Amino acid sequence: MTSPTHRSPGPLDRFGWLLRREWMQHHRGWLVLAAIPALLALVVLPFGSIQVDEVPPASLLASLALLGYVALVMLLAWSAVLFQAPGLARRDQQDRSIEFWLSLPTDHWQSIGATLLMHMVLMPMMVLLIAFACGQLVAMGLVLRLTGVAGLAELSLLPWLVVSGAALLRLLSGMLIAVLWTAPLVLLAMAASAWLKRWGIPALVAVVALGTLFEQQTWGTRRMWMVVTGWFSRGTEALLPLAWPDFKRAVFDQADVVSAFQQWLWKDIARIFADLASPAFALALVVAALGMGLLVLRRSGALGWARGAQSAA
Amino acid sequence: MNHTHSPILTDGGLIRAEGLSMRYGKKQALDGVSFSIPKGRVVGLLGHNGAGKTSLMKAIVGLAGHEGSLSVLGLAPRTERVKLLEDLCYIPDVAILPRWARVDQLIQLMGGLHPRFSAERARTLLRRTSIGERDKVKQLSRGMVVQLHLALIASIDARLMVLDEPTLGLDVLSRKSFYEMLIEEWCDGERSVLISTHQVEEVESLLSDVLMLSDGKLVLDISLADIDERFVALGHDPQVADAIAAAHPLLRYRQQGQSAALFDGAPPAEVAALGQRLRPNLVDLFVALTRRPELNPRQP
Repeated sequence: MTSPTHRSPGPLDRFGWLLRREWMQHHRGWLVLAAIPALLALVVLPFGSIQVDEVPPASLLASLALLGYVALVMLLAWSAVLFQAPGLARRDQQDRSIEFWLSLPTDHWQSIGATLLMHMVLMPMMVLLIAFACGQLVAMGLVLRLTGVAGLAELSLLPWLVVSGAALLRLLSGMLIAVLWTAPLVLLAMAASAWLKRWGIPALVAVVALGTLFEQQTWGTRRMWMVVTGWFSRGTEALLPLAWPDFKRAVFDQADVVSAFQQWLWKDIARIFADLASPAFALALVVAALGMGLLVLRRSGALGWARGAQSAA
Repeated sequence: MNHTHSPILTDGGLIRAEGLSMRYGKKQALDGVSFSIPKGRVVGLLGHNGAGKTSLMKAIVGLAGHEGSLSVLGLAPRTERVKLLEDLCYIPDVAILPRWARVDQLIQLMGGLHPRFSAERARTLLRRTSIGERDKVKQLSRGMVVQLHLALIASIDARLMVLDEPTLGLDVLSRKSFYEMLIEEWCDGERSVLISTHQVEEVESLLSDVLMLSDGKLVLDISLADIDERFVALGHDPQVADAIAAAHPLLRYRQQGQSAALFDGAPPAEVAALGQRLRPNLVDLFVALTRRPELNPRQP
């Protein structure tokens, strides 16, 4: 065997390949997740029975259809993220390929970071982009079905494109910020699974429940519960614009829905970013970092290598 | 047993271990192991189940903590694992390739993740097997998965190859073919191989040196060339068995239908005169040196 000259991949090259590994392993499930609602919409729109008491103006109808469709798919994607996350922590142990991955020159931080970035950010964003593109077709299809060609002609292309662009920006920002708000919960769940296997999630729930109970009985407060549920609710709020209570009044009750919607979107983007400047968010980042550290510690075997002594020896 | 004159230990090494110890709870997996492996050697790591072979290999590739000093390719494995693995290829004993992957995807990933991996070389090696590039790992038999793994690892232009039971699940032809490729194509006089296996007879002819572990202790560290000089096997008639036993051989056994005894060092001349000198083989040495204490009263 001759020794060719080798290029040494930098950390970013390797990180890119670790992301590609995630894509190779999981892209099919995510594409199915993105495709199923679109296929259902394609079947329902032309052939299904759609009944509304009063057909709203075309612009409102299109906005509602787009938002409703994308919200539904995002909810599915977000549920998939939360459902999959604890399992991801032990994925390579469960299919027994962990030793193979550990035999490659990749950093533990990079390996776990690539898994997290792909599953918590890139895959959901990909689903969101596909949903957004399909949502445009669904919106136009619904307008066509309920108002006919005349209704479709009412929609001005340029304002619709501007408002769609703003909506897309809001949804992408919301997804990213939702990931950050819920990162402590997801990472702690992953770390608990990595260390305690199937007892991880029950143990985590027990810690929060007992901690809250103890806090309430000792000091009469429920800060722990408030912090944990606060992370989740702020994440949900960032994810779905409809969670904002003033949404209906600010948009749908206005005469020019498209223009009002556009203004609301820009304001809401500013709001969700401004929300990050809070002690709760700083705490979320600290706890997320702790969860990440626990995951790396487990993968590196720094504390856990003594486990499985019989098999290792 | 005297290990202080090992030719390996006195040479500057790709691997240098001094007083290496590992513990799993109450179990001492490695106990003050010291050795050195220079370049250009094929070293067999032998030992019974639980002797500490896998623990030693995990320490060498930076996947397990240890006490004592360990340097591999001049690096500290635990803290410089990524850099080390760029120059070292490793097959763990329980490694299973990811079942979801296709062969071509694994080649792509290895090419991206390992700076010294040659996709072309992997394809060449795989053409010698019945494995296709579009095959999925989950569709391959266990033996084929091992063949694939060996092909991937042998396509890394590393300085050191660490193989923990690499041919488990392979048929005899595939094992022979792998070992031939390893010696004739991968080893170039500069690279070294550390190989752990229970198929001692099959690897004996390939090895240049042997490390033997028993209950976490290094009980033998010797070059194959020195085995004949240090150990003496005597074939003898059953009638002189008592006289031979009185000389405290390491092991009494049967070889080619004949009674035999194995001595560490030359037996007394009057004992040597009772039999014919045979070539001691590695299996007999392995049995003699790694028998459990309860079975071998000469072992401490």
